[in-house]
Amino acid sequence: MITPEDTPPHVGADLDQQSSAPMGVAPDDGRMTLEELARVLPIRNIWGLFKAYRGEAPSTAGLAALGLDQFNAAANAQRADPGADPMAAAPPLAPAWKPAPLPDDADEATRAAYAVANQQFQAGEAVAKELAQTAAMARAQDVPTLLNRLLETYSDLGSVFVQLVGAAMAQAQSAPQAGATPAAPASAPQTSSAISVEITASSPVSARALLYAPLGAAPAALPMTRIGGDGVLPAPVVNVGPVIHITIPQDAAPGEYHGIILADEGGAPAGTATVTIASPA
Amino acid sequence: MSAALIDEVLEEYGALTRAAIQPYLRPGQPAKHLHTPMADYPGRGGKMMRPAILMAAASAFGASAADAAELAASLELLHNALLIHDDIEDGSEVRRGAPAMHQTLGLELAINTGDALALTSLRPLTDALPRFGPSIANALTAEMHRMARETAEGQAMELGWRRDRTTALAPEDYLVMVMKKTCWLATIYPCRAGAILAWRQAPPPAAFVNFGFFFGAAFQIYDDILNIEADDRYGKEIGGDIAEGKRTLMLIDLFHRLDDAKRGRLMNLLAAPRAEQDKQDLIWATRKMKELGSLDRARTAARGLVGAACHEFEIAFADAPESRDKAFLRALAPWTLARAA
Repeated sequence: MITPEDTPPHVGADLDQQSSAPMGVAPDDGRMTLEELARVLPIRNIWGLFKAYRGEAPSTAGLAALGLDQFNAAANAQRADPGADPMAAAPPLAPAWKPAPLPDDADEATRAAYAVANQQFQAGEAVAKELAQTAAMARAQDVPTLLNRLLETYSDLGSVFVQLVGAAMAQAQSAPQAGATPAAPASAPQTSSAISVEITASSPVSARALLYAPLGAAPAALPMTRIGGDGVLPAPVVNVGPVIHITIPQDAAPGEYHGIILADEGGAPAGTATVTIASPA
Repeated sequence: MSAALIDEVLEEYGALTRAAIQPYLRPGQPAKHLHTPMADYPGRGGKMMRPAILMAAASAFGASAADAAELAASLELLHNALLIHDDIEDGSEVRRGAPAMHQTLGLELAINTGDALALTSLRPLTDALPRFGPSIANALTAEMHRMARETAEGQAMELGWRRDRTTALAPEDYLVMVMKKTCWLATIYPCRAGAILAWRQAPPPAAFVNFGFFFGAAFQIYDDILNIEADDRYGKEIGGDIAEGKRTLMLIDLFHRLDDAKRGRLMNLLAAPRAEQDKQDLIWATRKMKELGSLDRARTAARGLVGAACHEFEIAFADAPESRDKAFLRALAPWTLARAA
């Protein structure tokens, strides 16, 4: 693209050094040309990664478990149909202007330019509406809910390992309390602001962790208690790393459990861990 | 007087933009195959018209130059990223007086450098957004997305015409392509982004679109004309744009004014690989553009657009008090005429 700024006033000065030809018609001039793809049907979901796509409509069974079947299957189905025109539903970029030579007078050329500007303004409005619909659809899908479903689905398989990065509050790291003795940097215990959670469960669960202070060298955790009930989960095991191991007993009552993460054994609270056990369907 | 003012503002805002770009192009590894090439195009100069328009529009409406410089840096980085890819798509050999990047670095590394530069262009924007607040941040990112989309669509239109050997085009088709490919990046977005900074909210959808379009299109048409006329003036190789198959306003006009036999000759010329193009055909096509009045008609159309741009400027910038920045922006469209004289 030659743009106004990049073409100097003496535009012809470097023309003799430019080389170009219509795309796709000059394979023998040393330049790369675009070849047609052998496979025109895209693999659009994770299930397609593990098997060769043979032209059949993709299974949406796994996606249905995530509530994504309507979301992805429609797009895939359109592409899986060899007769479907993927652009059929797309609005035209511009009206079909009648091919014609340039007008002789400036007024007519300006009128044509205003017509283009008006048409483009209307097209821009249509695009804005289209994008707004896309955004609304994304909001309707509720991403956190989808992530929870994803976690729940995988936890059905037996265990799940999720890395959560919780940013410790900067103020907790940098602003000492009044009267506190600043720790010497050389002797300060190693701290971390990242945490991983590993869950072993036989029922659908989801988990999250939040750190609000740095962890020490040997973090620990207290037993997890259920809100609005008397359920108690065993104390999660916290390894140096740090990784929180949570084992969900088979007879654990559904509900949301909270536990405290300690910076060190017997130390101050540094964060919380939350596990949600879903009710049986 | 206007030319001096334009030179002064371009130089001043260009220097501020270069200073704002510098922190994002620091040396790193791999140096030879990424970080040094990333700084290559931005270091080659250029008039910095886009960032200057953005900063002038922001200042004209009362925003701070410091805030505008970061947005201008983002725009200039994106522009340079697109240039790398455009040079590949156009098969260009020269950019700003030196070999195009893919000529020396190879296609793969040039594409990768362009990708990296495009993504880096987000950084000045994201660094500045926390200061601006969520409302301005949303407006700016939405505006940038719109600009990027329009630019890609315009480039696709032009490349598609060349790939499909399209000849049945109207002048309006060219104007739509130029509006998307050139004007959104070069003029419309800079004005709108500058206004967002000053107004602290998104401008109305149509604001600055007409001014940016008419000014940018006139500039591009004169550029296309110079591309043909400069051949004679400087005795360089004949018909660079024609050889590249670019559907300029003059070429579209010429298609419709040739008889069937001559139109066939022109189509064969455009379809031929450049190495196989007959120089006599290029000379003939250039001569026909002059003989049949295609060049004059394009010049007339551009003159009309300059007039429309001047009219639209007074509407778009009516609320801005008189200032050096407003005078600079007002002088841009007439400067197009002087530049082509």
